[in-house]
Amino acid sequence: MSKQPALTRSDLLDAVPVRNQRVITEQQGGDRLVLRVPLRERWYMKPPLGWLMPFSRERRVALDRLGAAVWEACDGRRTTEEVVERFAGRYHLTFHEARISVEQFLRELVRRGLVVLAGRSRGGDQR
Amino acid sequence: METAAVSASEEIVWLGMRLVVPAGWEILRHSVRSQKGRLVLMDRRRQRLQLSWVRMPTAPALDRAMADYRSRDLEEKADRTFSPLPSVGRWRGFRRHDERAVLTRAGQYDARLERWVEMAVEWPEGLDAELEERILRGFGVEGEADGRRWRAFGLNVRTPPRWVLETADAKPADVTFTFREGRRAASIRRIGATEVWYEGNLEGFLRKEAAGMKVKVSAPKHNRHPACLGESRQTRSRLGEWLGLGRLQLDLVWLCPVAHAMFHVTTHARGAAVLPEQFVVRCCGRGGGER
Repeated sequence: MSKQPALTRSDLLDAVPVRNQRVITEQQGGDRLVLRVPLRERWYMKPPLGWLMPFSRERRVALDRLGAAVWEACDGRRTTEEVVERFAGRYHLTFHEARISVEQFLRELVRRGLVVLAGRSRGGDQR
Repeated sequence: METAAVSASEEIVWLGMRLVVPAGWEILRHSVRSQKGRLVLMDRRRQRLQLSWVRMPTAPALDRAMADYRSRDLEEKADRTFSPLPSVGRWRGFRRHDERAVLTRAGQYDARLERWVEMAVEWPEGLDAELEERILRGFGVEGEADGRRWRAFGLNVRTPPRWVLETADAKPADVTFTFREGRRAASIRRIGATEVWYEGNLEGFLRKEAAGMKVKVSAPKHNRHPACLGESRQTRSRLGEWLGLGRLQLDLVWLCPVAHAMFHVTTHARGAAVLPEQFVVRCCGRGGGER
């Protein structure tokens, strides 16, 4: 499998973060959010090994207030830039302060398969 | 018109140099050394401005310096063209054109700071001559009669005379400038997004920050905001503590509801105390005594 080229800053700002449709969200105490992601059933999860070791069928990811705010802003329509703007406005941060936090968080969500970045362009600035 | 232009601009004051840039351009890289360094600013997507400086006891030959730049630029890419930069203040320079962007490159020498300053502004979407002039004209050198002003990363500080910036640590919503004057040190911190983490207890915050030390706390007002002042002394022995020896740490912390940030000034000194109030930190329009 060929390695995906790294996203440039411009690509990332233009991309639309889309949530994984299979994720189930669960509100937990105020602003906290738990994301439950069903896992693909592996061979070792099936009996007889599955009888001996009860493997979890889902992965749970707990988001704090800031993470939950970003997750909620990822509605499949807003671009990353709009998510950053919204986050910056809500927490009185500069665009760059918000960008660093949101980008880092989104990359983590992508890595965990909770979000995909759609519609990214190939052009733009290389930084 | 002028008011609109000013309100859409942001002032940056760094190492005695003042820069006015469009709001939204933020510092990407910075140096704290006055001998040689640079400030790199970017807009939302790309690098836009680089201000670099180097200490020089005498003025360089300006025309020669610019000619060197032109030949270096041509060595990199032979099809570049150049046009003269209209004279703005003491800036001399040129505009460089290639298929990618226009670049404004200008330089000037400041005799008081003994500094050669260069500015390079990139125009990826075409030259904006009005903005170019505003940026060049907005550059200035600060006076040092009553200390030095620093304004960047959401902090606006005036230090007492002779204090030097040692480090500037800028993380999202958490910026700290550390200053030093001989064996005395001070740090100014701005912590944003208070609605997320602040529990409404200034004294508790201060005691947590000065963990392991005996803290005497009082509650003055600062910049007309409720504040908390802490005093603690670090000594190596009980005897030192009785004799009032050791390093005195003073902490002043206040929450600015306008800036949605907490400000924390810490000073360390042996002997005569450095009062946190000696550092004029402007958080919002209230008090602060700063422009």
